[in-house]
Parts: sequence; structure tokens; C-alpha cells
Amino acid sequence: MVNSNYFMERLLLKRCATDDVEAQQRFASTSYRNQVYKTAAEVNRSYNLPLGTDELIDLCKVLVARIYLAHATLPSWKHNLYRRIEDFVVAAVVLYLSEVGR
Amino acid sequence: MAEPAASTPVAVSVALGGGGAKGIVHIGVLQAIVERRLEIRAMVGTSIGAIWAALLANAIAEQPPGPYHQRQANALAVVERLAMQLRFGEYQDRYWRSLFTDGYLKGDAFEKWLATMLWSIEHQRPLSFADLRDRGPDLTVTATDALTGDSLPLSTRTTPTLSIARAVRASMSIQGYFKDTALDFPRASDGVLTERRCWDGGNTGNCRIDIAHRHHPALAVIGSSVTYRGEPTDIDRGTFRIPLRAVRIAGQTVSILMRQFETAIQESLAAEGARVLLIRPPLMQITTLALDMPNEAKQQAIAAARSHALTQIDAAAGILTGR
Repeated sequence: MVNSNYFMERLLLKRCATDDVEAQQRFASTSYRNQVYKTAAEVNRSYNLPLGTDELIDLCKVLVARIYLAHATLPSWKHNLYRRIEDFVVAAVVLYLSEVGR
Repeated sequence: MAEPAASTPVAVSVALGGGGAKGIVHIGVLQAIVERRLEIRAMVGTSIGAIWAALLANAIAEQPPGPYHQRQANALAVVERLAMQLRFGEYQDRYWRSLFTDGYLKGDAFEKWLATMLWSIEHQRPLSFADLRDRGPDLTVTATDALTGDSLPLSTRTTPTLSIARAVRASMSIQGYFKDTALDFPRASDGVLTERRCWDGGNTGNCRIDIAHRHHPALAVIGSSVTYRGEPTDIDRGTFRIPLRAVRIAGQTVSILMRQFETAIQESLAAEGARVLLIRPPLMQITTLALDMPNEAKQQAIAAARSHALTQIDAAAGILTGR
């Protein structure tokens, strides 16, 4: 299945990366932000909650910023942005946990 | 209908019916309601109607403080965007092994998508009915008990801690197509939570204007229904006439019963003096299973539904305002 929203997703992230408040609101309201928090919480739960709520939320804020900056590489023709964010966040949280030794 | 003055908004309870892909027209009806500045204070959704109702209730709850009509207009824009993005085909988790025992689709993938849309960052879990309490419209999602045939209205009254994503999945679990959805529902006799296997809410009524009225008798009710309207249907058509005949007969029988049931409810509520407007927007030849239609077709259907609903709302101004 082809991701027909590819260009829209790319443009949205690009606008978010330039501190466009409206685009960032759209990123939040269309639940891309939820996808980051939900995926991170699920990974944290699967590792028996090594991160506290505050640390997890701070990590998610950093990941959201990283996702904005990845506008050229994260959106894909093959999978929609929800799926791409999920894959990215799983990898990023696992990497973070291994780097901080938890 | 002349737009009501800002100081006297008309509050309504909205019932959105089931009907698969045809349910895209509900967005047009909601646009008309918002355009006429009617305030959506309660929503009852069934199947596809439950998806839009849940997304809209959550989007209204997430809007910053401000005039209610502005919040619901902004929220509806969010839901329309999601409706345009959504490709149901991406969430078809088939499992052929269980085609004849459980259902063609598991429904897990779509529930996962819904849980993302309806996620509580604060609580790090999917939103429950209780999380939305007093923050937006009173949301009710309908499902059907597969064993007893009971209608299960899922809401803050009955299942406050239930994930809304789970409730919506139960509401859209068309038997045979989706796997049954298990959830806990309070027993009528003593209120103890017991597990129920759920089928699609449409089995016990496709557009629940009756629940919308019963939960909020003071509010006017607007229903948006995509139930069969009596279009001539030839069950003996096509190349595979003989093998498909039994399926088509069953399908047509259900459609006729649903239509009669809806008409009976409408007449019964009118006899009670309830303020009810049931809108049947044009379907633009969309079929129930046209789940991956292009955005142009969605937009046309929404525009036609909006235009039709505006006319209906204007014509029913007296009913809605109770004057």
C-alpha cells in the first residue's frame, strides 16, 4: 500500500521544524504527538517502567523535536507517519535505555 | 433558519448511525450543525458513527477555553482532517486461519490506531470515558451483547473506566467480519462488571436517536442515518447469482428490518413529543465497504451531506428550538 499522504506529512514536519506554531498544533491535534507519547509509554512498560513519568515526558519532548528535524527522512512512501513515528520512537527509547544503563 | 443569537445557543444531542464507508457523510451533517451554531452537548455513536463521535468529543475536550461554538468548529476541522487521512485498508489485520471461526479481521490494528488518536498523555494510557467527563459532549457508544442481544450503551454512566478506543472497536465489530470484542459491562441486577462478547452496535439499532433522547430529554436530538432507504435491490443479479443468493437474501432482510426499526423509533419519539430531527443525507453511491475511497469522493459526499443537512435543519428550526 502506498502512503498517499507522503507529501503532506513531509511538509507538516518541515513547517514544524521552522517553529510554525500552527503546524505544531496540527501535529498535536492529528495525534502524531500522541503516537510519540503512547509508543514511548508502551516501550517503558515493556521494560518494567525504568523511566519515571517526568523523565519519560522530557524524553518525548526531545523525540518530538527530533521528529520535526527528520522531515526529509522520516516520512515514507510505504508507511504512514504514525507507523514511521512508532518505529522511530521504539528504537529511540530502547537506545536511550541502553545508553543510560537501565 | 436564522442563526440564533449568541446568548441563546440551541443545545443538541447528536446520534450518528452505522454504515461503514457511507458514514463519511456524517462529517457533512456535523458541519451543518456547527455552521448553524447548534451546540453539540451529547453524542451517541454506532459503528462508524462511534468513530467520528469519539474523535469529535476528544477534539472538543482538547480545545483551549473559548466560546463553545468556536471550540466545536475547530474540533470538527481536526476530525475532518483525520477522516481525509484515514485509510481503513491500512488497518486490515486479516487472519485467514480463523475466517470461519472468529472473523475475517482481528480489529487489533484499528483499535491501536484509535488508541493513538484517543490517548491520555497525562495518564499514559488510552482515554477512558471518565477522562472526557465535563470536558466536552457527553459521549455514548453503542454495542450489542453477542450472547443475549442486549443493547449495551457504553458511557460514563455504565463503563467510566473503559477505554473509548475499546468501546468503539466493540461498536464496529460486525459479526463474522470482525472478531468479537470482549469487554466488561455492569450486570443489570447488581451492577457487578461481567465480561460480554460484543458485536456491532447496529444490531440493536443503527442510529440511536432513542438513546440520545433518553439520556438528555431536555435537548433537541439530531440523528444522521445512513440506514437503507428502500433503494430497489435485485438479489438475483450478477454472474455468481446462485452461490451469493442466500447471502444477499440475508443482507436485504437485515436492511429492511433496520429501516423499519428506525422508522418505528422515530414515530414513537415523535408521539412522545420529543424534539427529533432525523437527517438521511445523500450517499453519492458510496457503498458500505468502499473503505479506501479517494479524498475527492469523500469531499463530494461531505459537501452534499452538508448542503442537505443545512436545508433540513433550517426547515426544522421550530422543532429544534421548541418554539
